[in-house]
Amino acid sequence: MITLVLLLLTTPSVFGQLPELALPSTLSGNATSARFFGGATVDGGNTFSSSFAAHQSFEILAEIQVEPEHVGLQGNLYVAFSLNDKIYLQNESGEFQAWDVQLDSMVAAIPNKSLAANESIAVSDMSELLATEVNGASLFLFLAYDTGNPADELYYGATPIAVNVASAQAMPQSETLYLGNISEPIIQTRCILCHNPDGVAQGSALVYADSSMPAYQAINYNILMDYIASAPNGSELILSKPQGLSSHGGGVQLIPGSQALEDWAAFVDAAVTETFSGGGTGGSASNIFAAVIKTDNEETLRKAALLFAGRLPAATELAAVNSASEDELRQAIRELMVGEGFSKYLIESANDSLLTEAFAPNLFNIVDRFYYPNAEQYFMSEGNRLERSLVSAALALEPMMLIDHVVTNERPYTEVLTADYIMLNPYSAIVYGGDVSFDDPTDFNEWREGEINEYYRCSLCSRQNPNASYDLVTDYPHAGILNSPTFLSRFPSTETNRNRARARWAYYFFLGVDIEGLSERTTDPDALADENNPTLNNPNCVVCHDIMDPVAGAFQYYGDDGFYKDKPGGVHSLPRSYTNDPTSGYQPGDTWFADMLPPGFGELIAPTQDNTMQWLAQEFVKDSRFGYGTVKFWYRSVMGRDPYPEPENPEDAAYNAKLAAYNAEQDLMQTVAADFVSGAAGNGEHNLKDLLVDLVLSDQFRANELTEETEFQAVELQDIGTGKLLTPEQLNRKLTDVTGFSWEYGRANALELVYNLVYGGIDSLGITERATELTTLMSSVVTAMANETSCSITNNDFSLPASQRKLFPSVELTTLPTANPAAIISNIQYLHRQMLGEDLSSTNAEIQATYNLFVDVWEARQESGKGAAVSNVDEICILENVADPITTDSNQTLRSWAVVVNYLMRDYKFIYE
Amino acid sequence: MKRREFTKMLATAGLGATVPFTFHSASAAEPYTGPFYISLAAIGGWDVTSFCDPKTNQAGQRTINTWADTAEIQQAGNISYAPVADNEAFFERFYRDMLVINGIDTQTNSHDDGRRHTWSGRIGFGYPSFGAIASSAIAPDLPLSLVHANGYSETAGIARFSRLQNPDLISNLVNDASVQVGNESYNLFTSNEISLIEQYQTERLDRLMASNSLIPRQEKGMNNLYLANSTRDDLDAFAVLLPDNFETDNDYRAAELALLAYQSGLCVAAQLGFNGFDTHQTHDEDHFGPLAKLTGLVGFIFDKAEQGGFADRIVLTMGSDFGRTPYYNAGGGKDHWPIGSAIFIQQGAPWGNRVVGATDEGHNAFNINPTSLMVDGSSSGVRLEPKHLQQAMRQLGGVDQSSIAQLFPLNAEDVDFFNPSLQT
Repeated sequence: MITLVLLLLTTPSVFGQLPELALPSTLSGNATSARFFGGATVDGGNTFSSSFAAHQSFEILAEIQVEPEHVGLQGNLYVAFSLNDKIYLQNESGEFQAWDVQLDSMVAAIPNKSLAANESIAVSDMSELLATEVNGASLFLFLAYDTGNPADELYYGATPIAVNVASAQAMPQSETLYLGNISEPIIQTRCILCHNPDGVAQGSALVYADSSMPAYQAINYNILMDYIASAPNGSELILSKPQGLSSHGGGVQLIPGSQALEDWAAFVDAAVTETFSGGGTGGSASNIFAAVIKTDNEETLRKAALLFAGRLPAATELAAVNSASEDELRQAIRELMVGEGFSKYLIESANDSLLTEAFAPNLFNIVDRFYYPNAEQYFMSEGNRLERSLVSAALALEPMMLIDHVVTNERPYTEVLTADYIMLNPYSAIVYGGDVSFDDPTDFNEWREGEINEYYRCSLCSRQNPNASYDLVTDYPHAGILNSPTFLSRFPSTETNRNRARARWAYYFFLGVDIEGLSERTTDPDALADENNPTLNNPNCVVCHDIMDPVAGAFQYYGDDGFYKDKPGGVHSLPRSYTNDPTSGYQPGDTWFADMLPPGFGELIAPTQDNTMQWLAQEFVKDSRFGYGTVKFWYRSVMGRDPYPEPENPEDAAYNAKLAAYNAEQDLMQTVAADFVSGAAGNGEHNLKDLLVDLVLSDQFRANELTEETEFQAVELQDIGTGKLLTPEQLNRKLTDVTGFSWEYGRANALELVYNLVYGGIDSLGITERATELTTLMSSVVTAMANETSCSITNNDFSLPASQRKLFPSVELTTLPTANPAAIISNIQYLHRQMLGEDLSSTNAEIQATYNLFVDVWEARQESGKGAAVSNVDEICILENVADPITTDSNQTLRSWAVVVNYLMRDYKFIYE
Repeated sequence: MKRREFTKMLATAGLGATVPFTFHSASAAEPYTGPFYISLAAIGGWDVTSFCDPKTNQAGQRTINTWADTAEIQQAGNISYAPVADNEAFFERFYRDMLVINGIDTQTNSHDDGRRHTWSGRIGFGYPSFGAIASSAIAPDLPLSLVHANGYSETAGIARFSRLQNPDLISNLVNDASVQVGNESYNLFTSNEISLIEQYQTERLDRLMASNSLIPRQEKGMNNLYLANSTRDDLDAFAVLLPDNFETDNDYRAAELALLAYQSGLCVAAQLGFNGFDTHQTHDEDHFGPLAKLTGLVGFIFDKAEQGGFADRIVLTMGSDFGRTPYYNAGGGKDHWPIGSAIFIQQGAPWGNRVVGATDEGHNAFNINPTSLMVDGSSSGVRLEPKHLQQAMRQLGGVDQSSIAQLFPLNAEDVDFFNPSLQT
């Protein structure tokens, strides 16, 4: 329990040792000679600290040295502090009261006193307040004073007194067990006899600190936890060795059946659970949504429709889910997953990871005119530039089109790896062949299953040799995305990388395993200097390479640039530096490196060397992690961010809240993955549509309101629920569907092309992460959109019959606020519903505000005697893309409505969903 | 310091930085004229044994550097460097203003982890870059407070970064209420109408933000929109500085735009960098080009800053994921090596012309005494890690005691990096 001691300091002399708080400041921005001092201490001010354990008592000492000219003036002294996400002031009675951060509601800790040169401040006992902070507390305390002259001037220390108090409940179970049952009776009594810096086990991975060292318990606990987490088979060895097993040099230390061994096993069990499952110390995963209200059926459907179909749901679709069951809502969402909008969603989302659209400008990033002779016609070609660009785009899109094909046809998602075909359109078929016939050989959007049959290996491989021969007909062993030429090119290899990067990305994209994340543990330079084939033999390296290298081997037939069996004779892809090295171990007939683990997956070795890629694909989709990996791959596209990384440091602020959020998310992902694999929705195993629906129906997607604020919701729910910034592509689709108007510069779409990167998009090459938080520059894209299109949109919509309009079904340009305000308000309600997703009554403040804006503009235009022309030199209305524009606005209503549309397009609820 | 910033400081002193800003000021932020903090990342892992921690070959050992077969280590002031790429010009120009930190142990050979460790001070997830801390602590309200072009971009929710790619588009966007036809500019709406729209938008956003049922993500989005709306006009100061022609190289252009953002008073920190250093094959052939570009880029930054009259306000930090092996692999490349270096450059800095930290002839890090900075093999010695580098950056930026920085404690020993009278 935290205890703070009430401090009443009356003399300034003690503050000679107080830490000075940097950045003395004033509200006006003027310089000040005032100085601020303070700190938290457990020993009466001899030493100061910012971090305290839960059980430590400490006090806060504080002093203000006022400006010399303020001495003797009447003034007020303030103590303000933030505690987690709340802000308080200390009042005259020494009590703490919540503060709304308004200057006019500030209350002084010491009001209206004659200021002395040094003012000590009694900081009240906070123990009662902090006792409620069950998850630990981060306290930032600020000091300030004023004199009332000039008014509104405040003198304050911009650097706070910072105090972090660890959670009383933050101690992991393993640590509790360690301190209670392990440290003294086992480590300090038995193990340390050998496992010390000078002992016979000094060279082992476990060298303990003895009890004479400060913090020896924490040191030793961390050594054990680190060993369990990072040593190969660490959790097994840590159990077996003390029993005299696994070649333990110290023999039997813990006798089977003894209480000591039971205690040891309980500790290891807790440590393993905490280390590998993320549980044990965090808040409850299920509780983080206790105070959350989810989006209702209609709103959920609206957001799902914009996400998956790129359009608003029809009125009939909304009506159908009005009071529908979750199963009915599920079906309604599922029915959105058709057509061009859904394909765009799939392609964009998949490319955010695969990034192959980076190669869309140039087909020779993917293919080669020697191995693919049909590409020769595009080499240095000027004559068929349009066709060349279409071929390039087709090759770059191919992996995403396979996903689109599998998902839209409701085939098992496993087929994205196991497909024994490649997706071809008329343009990629020019290069790949495939014996595919197309209904329209000029239709870029006609994609069909085919095979690469125009790839030729070389019997004599040389670009410069006129006798070079690329003549070996190839039966390409398709394995879905894994050996897509585009995928292999986008993730190339080198002679020393040996397909490891491809293995890394295959694990990452399809099994959700980040191999790089496995190697963050300490890497000893001495170990790295190991020359005895370290990736095979050195434990520091094996931790990753055992996992990675067999899969790299499965890619054995694909060369650095992705070409199949690209070395002379067309039987392997081993580099010459290896095959020509007499010491390498290479033997004729080898297809993989002799000094690496053989092609395989996990403990499995590929049964034959004929076709390790297709074998790997089958093993991947059988693996228990494939479902989770698929959820992880698609999670960002639905939730607007990647899954949380596991919180690592219990000493971090709000660790438990972060852990609760992480656990809740992992629970969801595992559940969705299990249902995806089993086909729980009844649409077959591995149906991606069901996976996407499950994510949309989750609390993580639908969290929309809070019924009450609890202390840690700011962290637990930090990036959850509604309020995701739309990507430029999503905003464009919404704009186009809601308004019936596309924002174009000539033939270039403004959001998808011109401003894509400025608005947070990616180019798949240098910029591969989307910006998810609106910046000032990004907001200028929004205002440009509103300013440049709102008049065009309004003009275009009014030019249509009322029954065909997207935005103005209830009014005409002759509908005036003086004659028929009800119709105008009704249409404003409609605009709020369509553009912002708000279903508001006619008397709602937002509807009234929008109406007032309309009237303000309309009256101003009337009063200023604006002319009838919609567009003139004083105010341009861009009519370039309006089919049949209205040119006169004698009632000044068109431009008044344009202002309303402009206002709504800039709105938070238009650019966020 | 404005009233709004005072209250924001209180708000962000909490955990999630999600308390709505209460004081809405329509006034423009004050132009920032303090130091400009540039982080320059050599992405992929640089070979410091061919740069600022040069190594020659040892008899009977594997070759560390082929250049050492025919050339000697060079010296500029107190700083040693390898005689490759454009190192000579770089070190001769900047050694007086340069602090080299050698022997930084990044404790990993994984790119992601090394990058995160070097630029946040923690190998685990969740800590922001120095640029995010500096921009948040010094001037969070500026519209371009943190400019990010490349490298580590984690902000941990305390800052937002802006990307500046296409200057022409930026010019268009800052004049978003008008269109250009030929040489004539035409308004899309009257200024009164634009003002009305903005007024109504602000009032609506106030109403939305006043709701006590918002979830944190909504609060953050609304805060971001509010801040963007209230500072959008400030971008004019940036737009007017944009020249007609820019550098053609993407990385040079990114630096140029960042410098202009600072010059306009809108930017506190920039994160620059480029790839090309991960040379597992034909190292010498492939690595020295990027190295020359890196040093050239530093020269370019200071040249431009000289022209703008603010070269003395540039505080530049160079670093990388980690180092490269002190030997070549079978492909003539160099693989990952956890020991690396970092360099601070500031014109006229009293702490220049110094080296802190050291490695042995095989590029293994020595511990140093944090007080004397001498190599110290005793228990008092400290192995330099990225947390020390980040602590130094925070100290140099004067933000190490800020409430923002204290949310992300580094727990680093206090190493006297900037004491002009000491070096290793």
